[in-house]
Amino acid sequence: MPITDPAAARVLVYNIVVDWVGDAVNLAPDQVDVSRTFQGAPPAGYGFDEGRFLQMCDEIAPKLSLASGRVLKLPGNWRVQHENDAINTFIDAVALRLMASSMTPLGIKAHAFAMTHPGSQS
Amino acid sequence: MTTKLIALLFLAAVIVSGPAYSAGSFEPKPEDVCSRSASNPKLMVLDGRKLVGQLIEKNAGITSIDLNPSGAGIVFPETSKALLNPAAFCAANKCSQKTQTALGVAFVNLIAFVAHHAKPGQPAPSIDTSGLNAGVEPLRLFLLGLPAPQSVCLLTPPAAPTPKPPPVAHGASPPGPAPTPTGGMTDAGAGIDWSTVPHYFSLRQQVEDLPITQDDAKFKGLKQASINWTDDYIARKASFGVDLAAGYTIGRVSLDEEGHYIGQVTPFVTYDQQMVQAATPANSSRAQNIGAGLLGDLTFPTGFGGYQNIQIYPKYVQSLSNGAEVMSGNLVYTPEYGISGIDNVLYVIPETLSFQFTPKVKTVFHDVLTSGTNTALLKLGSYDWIGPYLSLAVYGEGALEGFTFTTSYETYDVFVGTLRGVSMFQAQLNYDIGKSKLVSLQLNYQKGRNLDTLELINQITVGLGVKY
Repeated sequence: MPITDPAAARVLVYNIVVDWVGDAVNLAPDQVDVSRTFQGAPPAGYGFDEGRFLQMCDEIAPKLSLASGRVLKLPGNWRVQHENDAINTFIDAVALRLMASSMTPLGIKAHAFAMTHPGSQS
Repeated sequence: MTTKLIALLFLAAVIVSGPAYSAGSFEPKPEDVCSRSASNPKLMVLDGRKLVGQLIEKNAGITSIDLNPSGAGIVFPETSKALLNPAAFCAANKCSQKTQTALGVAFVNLIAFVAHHAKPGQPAPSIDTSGLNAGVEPLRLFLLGLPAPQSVCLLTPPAAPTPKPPPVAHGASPPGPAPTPTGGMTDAGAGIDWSTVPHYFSLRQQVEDLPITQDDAKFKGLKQASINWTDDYIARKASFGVDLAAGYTIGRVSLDEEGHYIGQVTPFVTYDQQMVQAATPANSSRAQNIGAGLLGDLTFPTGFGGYQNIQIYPKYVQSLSNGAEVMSGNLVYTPEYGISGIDNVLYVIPETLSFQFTPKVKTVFHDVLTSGTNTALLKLGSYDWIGPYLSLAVYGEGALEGFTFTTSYETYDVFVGTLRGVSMFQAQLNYDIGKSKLVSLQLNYQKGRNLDTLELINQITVGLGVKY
């Protein structure tokens, strides 16, 4: 189902980002402190260098596109604006961007499917 | 069978009428959605009533009877409430699921429109929605007809030399030229839009501090450029000193649309002067140096996965007092290949202990072009070296909160100069015990050569701090 609700977008982005960060720093996703920044030493941040942040943006964008049914791009100067963000701020910014992105052809089909198939009521 | 037929028809309709379901398809003409500002009739601003009407009726094809099947009639700003919360509105007004979905898509299109036009200084015809692009709240206030940032419309190309209108007329707090762009949803990443690139002048005492912006947490601790005059009547000695570095920083900026090349550059000039005038010429001195250079770095892909960073810092200094000329600088290569424990911290004990290695390769050069009458420069001479640098940082949290250990080793092969090699080892242990840091332990060990003066160092420092 393509994301059309801001809260659902934030939940989706939260899950993807926290899973990526947790995997990178060897923490379970629920142990990731989203009030920390990507950059900066612990306990304020997780010590990401710029290359690591760019790599994360490169990798989460296609995951979010597939899961949301929207064409998410995290372009260059947007990345510059957000590389010093706290993780929670970054999640909000990505979610907003996701909501403003156009739907993928797959997303449109998924939306149409969901609107015309009531689904089983088991 | 009937259900399948309906599904196919609906799918076909969705695909054929794609714009209604794809964000970013709402592009009204400025003259259709702008009106004269009530507070400044000379200014055309985005009109919420017109904008919502165009969006809902013309773009989304939602009529008043769709919004309220009873025929009671829904007008602005009730239409805005339908946009802002389709589920609640449709529950109250009994509009259909299809209308509710279309309202949701229309709102997404509106957000895309606001984000797309949040670019100050665009030529006419244009609408600058920057003021509405800082989260949902400004947009919500605007849609409901409440006091909100205005969005200036440019309907016709301004005749030269018409002064540029303000990009956004904020009611409460007009923003000044920000040194760094703020967050939020913008389309600033598409190529190099130089109007959005941070660029600012800075004045400090040290060149390395020039790129640090005023809103950075580190700004408070930076040394200021200084000019001072001292006159000691007892010692009959007067001194005058100037110590400043001025630079113009451009960036950080992405050099490509995808965000794979990110850099920053700060051309700078320096001036320092120390003049001491004593009773005897032997005790008097005069030093006056002027310099210029570049400080910059670039992060870019390796080509085999991950990224890398190169920092450059060439500097030319000329002494106006003794004629000496020195060209110096360094080049630092940092691999950022995307390895945990190097490009980010890696926890060995979750939420308690983490570490991070930082490898670099450094090249340092210091070429005395003209020694002039400076005997110290003649003694030190030119030197160029290259070598690796590796540091390890261990961080404590939770039960080990306050514990930090850092160690680094750098060794250089000297290919120009009198020394064969230069190396430096440093280790530092800090342990602030307790949250209130009543007891603090410090251990610092250094062995090698000071990389600026090349003097030998072999020292250990132990410190214990207590407060109660």
